[in-house]
Amino acid sequence: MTQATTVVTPARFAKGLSFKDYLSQIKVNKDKFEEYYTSAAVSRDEAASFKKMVAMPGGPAKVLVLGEDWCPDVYRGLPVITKIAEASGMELRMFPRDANLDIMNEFLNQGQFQSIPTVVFYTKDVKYITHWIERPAFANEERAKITEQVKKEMPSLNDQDFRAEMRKRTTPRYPAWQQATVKEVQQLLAKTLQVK
Amino acid sequence: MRSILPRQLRGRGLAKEKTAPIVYTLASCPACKKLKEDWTLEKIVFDERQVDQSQALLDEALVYGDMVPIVVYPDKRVEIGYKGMIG
Repeated sequence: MTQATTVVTPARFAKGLSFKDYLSQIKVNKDKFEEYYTSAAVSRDEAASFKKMVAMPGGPAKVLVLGEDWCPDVYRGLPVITKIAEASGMELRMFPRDANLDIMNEFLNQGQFQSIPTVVFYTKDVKYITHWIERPAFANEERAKITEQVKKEMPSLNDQDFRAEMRKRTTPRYPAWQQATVKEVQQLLAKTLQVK
Repeated sequence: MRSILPRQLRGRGLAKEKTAPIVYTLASCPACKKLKEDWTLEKIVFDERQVDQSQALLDEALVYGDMVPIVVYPDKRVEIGYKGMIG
């Protein structure tokens, strides 16, 4: 993807939905988006760091999120990005992935997967800065450990019961994964913008 | 061995939801579209449940898996994906 060929023009960006407007038109998991909006938090120091970066020339004044309402990574992650945007003054626009595959195709995970959420940061005149995909490394590490624990403790579970057990053990970790998202996004932006 | 259908399932009055596979889909999933096209051509009757249209259907599908399509056969066998594709 280069700036010359991107489909994300200022006019296209403006067509995205605010978090509130997105929630008003989804058909599933509205309660979960609201629950994880409540649990997402940006500390005072983190907010100051994001604000500082947003105020920089070429800073992340705008953020685009691709997602779908049925996806747990989205109903956990979009509220975090919304809280970051609110704390720092970024303009957030949400785009349902399946209706915007031309945007999605610019940011395929490992060049092939349409992973969501995909969060793309732009300057105020919609020049690409960087993007973040799906969930923080901390969540992937914890999920892998929990998977191993369940397999070890309950080796005879069938697929359905295994999934139920995984949900039971991973869902309580979602607020911690949200905190890790704030930290990882802050570090990504700081590194990209070379902020110390 | 001969299988014996319960009285209420015999004959023409077979209820679709009791005898046809349930297929959980997403509106825009390519694998789901392919399954539906193929099965329609092959005249396979199925009960489609589009999970992005209803919280109840989404919660129902999540019992079986978190990727689509999910096919639940009348004998409770569950298959996730179609011809190696996942939505």
